[in-house]
Amino acid sequence: MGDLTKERFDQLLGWLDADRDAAALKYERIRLRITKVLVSRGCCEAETCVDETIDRVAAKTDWLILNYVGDPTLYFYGVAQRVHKEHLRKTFRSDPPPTEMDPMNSEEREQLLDCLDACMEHLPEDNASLAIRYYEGEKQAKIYNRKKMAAELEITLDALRIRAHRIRLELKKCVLKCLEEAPAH
Amino acid sequence: MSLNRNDLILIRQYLLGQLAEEEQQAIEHRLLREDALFEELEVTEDELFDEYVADELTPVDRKQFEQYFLSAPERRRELEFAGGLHQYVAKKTVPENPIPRSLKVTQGPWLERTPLEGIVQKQLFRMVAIVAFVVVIGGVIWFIQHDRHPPTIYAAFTVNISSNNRADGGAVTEIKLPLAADAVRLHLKLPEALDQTARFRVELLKESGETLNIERVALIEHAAVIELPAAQLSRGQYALKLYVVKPDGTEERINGSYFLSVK
Repeated sequence: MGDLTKERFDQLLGWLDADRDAAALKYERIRLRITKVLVSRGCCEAETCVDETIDRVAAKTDWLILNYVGDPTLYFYGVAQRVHKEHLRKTFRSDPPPTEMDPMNSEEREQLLDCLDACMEHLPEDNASLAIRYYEGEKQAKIYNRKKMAAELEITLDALRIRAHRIRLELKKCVLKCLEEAPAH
Repeated sequence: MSLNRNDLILIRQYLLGQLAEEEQQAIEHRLLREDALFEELEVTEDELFDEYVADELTPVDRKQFEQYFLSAPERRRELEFAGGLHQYVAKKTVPENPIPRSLKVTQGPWLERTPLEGIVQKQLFRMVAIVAFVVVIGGVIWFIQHDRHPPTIYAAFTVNISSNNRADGGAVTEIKLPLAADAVRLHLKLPEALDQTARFRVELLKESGETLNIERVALIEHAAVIELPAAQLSRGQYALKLYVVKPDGTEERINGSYFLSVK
């Protein structure tokens, strides 16, 4: 974050909630969701825009504490929209369009598969086998397989989707860490 | 708040950039406040990645995925992960010692048949072939009838309810042809806040007396939203009636009408 001092940040947390732990959770939740919204809007520098949003909101905390009524999340959202629009105008004027990201080469892909292998090993056995079964098959076979899994686990298909998603999140975190730690080629 | 079928459709359309600005903002407001909807967004993201990697998206969705969904670098990195996962699972689920193809057809007790079994087998094969033929033809017909890809460019109009009739000065929304869009999306403003899980039906009456029944109605920010292919709109006057469909299947008409004038 750019100009955000500790004092300002504490003040911002105080505005979000009187309880420091609850405020920190709210802050993380707002940050994550605003980032996701900007990514969904195609923002090429979502993290930068979110930092700028938080800086601007933090700079107005004195005023907000006295005057703002309502859900702070929506205030952040309003500021994020303005920041994104300004960012679009600025990049449209000055920067060339973002370049395509290089696709992984075969070595990097091998590394990814190795990391997936290692991370699957770290998952509890039930979760690892659920993940493999969930993603197995194609088209109709995959749909049939998932219905069968949901019936076996005695849960709805929606609950199964969410369970698979949570395992995938855990797996993704582990794979990213593994890739960061892997020796560069 | 629990999610309904409309929410799942909206989230997918949102991720693929298929919503009008007003709808985007409405869904973003909810995403910031509703945990279940936010998690659904993440689940749908996973599914879009997987469908893209497995080449299971329709051509229209594939184009939107590449041009809109993938525009953020975060998403392009996620795509690499999805591709890796797909490859990993495919590798893991291939049988370790697949039976050689030649053994499959030349060995096994099922080949030692009596002549009667052979006749039964032949009849069975013929029946299976007929059923397969019917299924394939049916499938082709179904595909032709149902696999109309959703339009990607919408012209959105807000239509207010009017208790008067058109002649007595009821509010009329004007649509000018030709439209630079594949379809129109009509936001029929509801007179009062209704249950978010309510189902609706819309009747579209043309001045010729023809009536069109529309059951695909989404509820977005106190408006019942319907879509009509632009090709279905010809110049003339239209009236729309809105019905709430109750859980027991009975319907209650919402007082008033919505008027459209297509010029």
